[in-house]
This record gives sequence, structure tokens and C-alpha cells, in this order.
Amino acid sequence: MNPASFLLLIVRVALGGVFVVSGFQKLWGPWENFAAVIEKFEIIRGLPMTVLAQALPWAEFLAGVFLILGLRTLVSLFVLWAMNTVFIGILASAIARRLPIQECGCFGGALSLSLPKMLVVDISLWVLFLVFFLGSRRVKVPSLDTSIGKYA
Amino acid sequence: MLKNKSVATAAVLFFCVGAVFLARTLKPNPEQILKQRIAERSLGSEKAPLWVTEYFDYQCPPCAAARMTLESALKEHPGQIYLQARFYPLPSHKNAMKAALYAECASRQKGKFWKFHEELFEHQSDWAMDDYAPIKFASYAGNVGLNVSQMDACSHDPETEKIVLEEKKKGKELGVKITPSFFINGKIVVGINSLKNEIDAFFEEKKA
Repeated sequence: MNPASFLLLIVRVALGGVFVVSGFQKLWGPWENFAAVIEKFEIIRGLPMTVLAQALPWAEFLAGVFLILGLRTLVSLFVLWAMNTVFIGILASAIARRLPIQECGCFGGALSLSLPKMLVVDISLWVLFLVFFLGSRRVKVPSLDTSIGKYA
Repeated sequence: MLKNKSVATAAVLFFCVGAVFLARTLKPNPEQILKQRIAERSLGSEKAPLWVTEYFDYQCPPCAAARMTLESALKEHPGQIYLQARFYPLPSHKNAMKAALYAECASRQKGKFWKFHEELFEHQSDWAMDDYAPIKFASYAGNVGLNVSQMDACSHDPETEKIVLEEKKKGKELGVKITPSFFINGKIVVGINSLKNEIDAFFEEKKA
């Protein structure tokens, strides 16, 4: 494996890992905790909030696992990248509206970050998504997708 | 190849979903923790049909606001609610732990806990960022007729801290992360709006 593909593999596993931890933290605890976090951002309420509070952690967790394994890599990459983009928009909007949110709550109980710090983290993740996407177009990164193709 | 990929996808999905459900079953039984009685930090009769256990932090503004909701629910439904107060001081609130220690000590002087509890919330903004908050706590203790020297000694006792931390640990085991969190007949409810909705729904259902 050349250094570029090793580096991209690390980036892919790290990106997936972030979402696996984030999703699992929320799934392990009661969904009501995450619903309360969503409520603080004053964007959605009621049934859509309840549905999102229960569905989003599953999407984070499953897409994260798929990205780590490199199975359905493009689909999982775009799902997580899209979520990451939405999170950036929501955080920026909350900061602009000066909502009194002391800590994001975005990682369940795993990490306690203020909104500006979380925004920096999310933008860094966005850049990493871009690096991986562009890099994986040029360099072959080991994945289950390619292994299955090889042995099919 | 497509077939192999579908099989692998199904296997990963099955494994992941199974792992989450397995992890959830390893959590402790909430009933055991919630049934533990905290006599001096409870209101109402244990025979009441609605048990509300509140996990709160004295420095959290929504917790101060939640007491209004609880107060009006207790007034609206006399004898119907059994309320228990449990500590969950957040590390991001610099005086929350000290406040919880003093409140735990107040609960050891019979019948004085709720008055002191009210004082702490009433003056929350005065002591929240104060470097000498315990001086204010001692003054609130004096206001409600607590023995201040006993309170001071008790708040410095490592045993008191152990009790507060143990209570917080049990809250964590139940899934509490945000304050205020409530358990309404065992069901977790987070935030004031949800608390009000849940209490209203319980009594509506009872009426019907």
C-alpha cells in the first residue's frame, strides 16, 4: 500500500469513527436527550423532532460503520457529508441567532463543546470529507468494496 | 459481485442493529434506581399515582424554571404526585457541586431541605459565578433556620460528596445527560415543555 492510500484509509476510518461514536452515544442513551438538544436549536418541533431524534443517530452510526469498512463507500460518504453540511448550517444559524446554547450536545455525552468550537470541528470534518473524496478518485484505497469485487 | 455486496451489506446491518440492541439490554434496570427512597428530598405520598424524579443542577437556569412547573402541578393535583429531588451537578457549572453539597446537608436537618432548595434557586444568579459562593450558601442556610456551623462541617465531609457523586452516577446509568431530566413513572422526560406535556397527558388519561 502506498503512503497516499494509507493516509486516505486513515482519513476514511477517522471520519467514519467520529460518526460511529456520535451515533452510538445517542443510541445507547434515551432518545429524549437528543430530542432536547434538537429543541434547543429552535428549528423543528413536535413529531418531526421526535422522528429525527430517533432516526438521525441510526443514520450516523450505520453510515459511519459502512464508511469505516469501505462498504458502499460512496453512498455512506455522501450521506455523512450531507449530514455534516447540514450540521454546519444549523450551528452557524444558531450562532447568528445568538441562541443561549452553552454546549452543542452534538456528540451525545462523549464530548462537550461550545457552538463555535463545534463549528470549527464540523468545518474540519467537511474539509476531510473533501480530501477523501478527491483523493479516492485518484488513489485506490483498500476497502470491502474493492475486496468483494476482487473475489466475486 | 452485486449479490456479494448485498449479502455483506445485510450482514453489517444485522450486526450493527444487533450490537446496539445488545448494548441497550446491558443497561441497569431503571426501576431499581428510581424506587430508592430519598425521604428528606421528597414531597407528597409514596402512594401517589404519579412518581416524578427530577435530576437537576442548582446552577442551571432551566432547572430553576422547572420548579414553577412542578409547583403548579403539585398544586393542581394535590395528593396525586410524589416528587423526588436528585442531584446532577454539571462540571461546566463551577458552583453547582458546592450547592448540591450544601443542599444535601440541608436535607439532614429535618424538614429544611425544600426551603433551602428554594433559596438556592431563588438567588441562582447571585451565586452562580461567585468565587465565594459558600459564604452565600451559609447566609441562605441561616435565613431558613438551618444550623450553619453544622452545614459548613457537613459540606466539607468527603462522605457528603460521595453521596452526591453516587447519585449523579446512578443518574448517568439511567441515561441522564441534560438537566433538568425527569422520570415520570419510570419514563425519561427531558426539559420543561416535555415535563408539562407528560404530566398533563397522565392526568388527562386518568380522567378519561
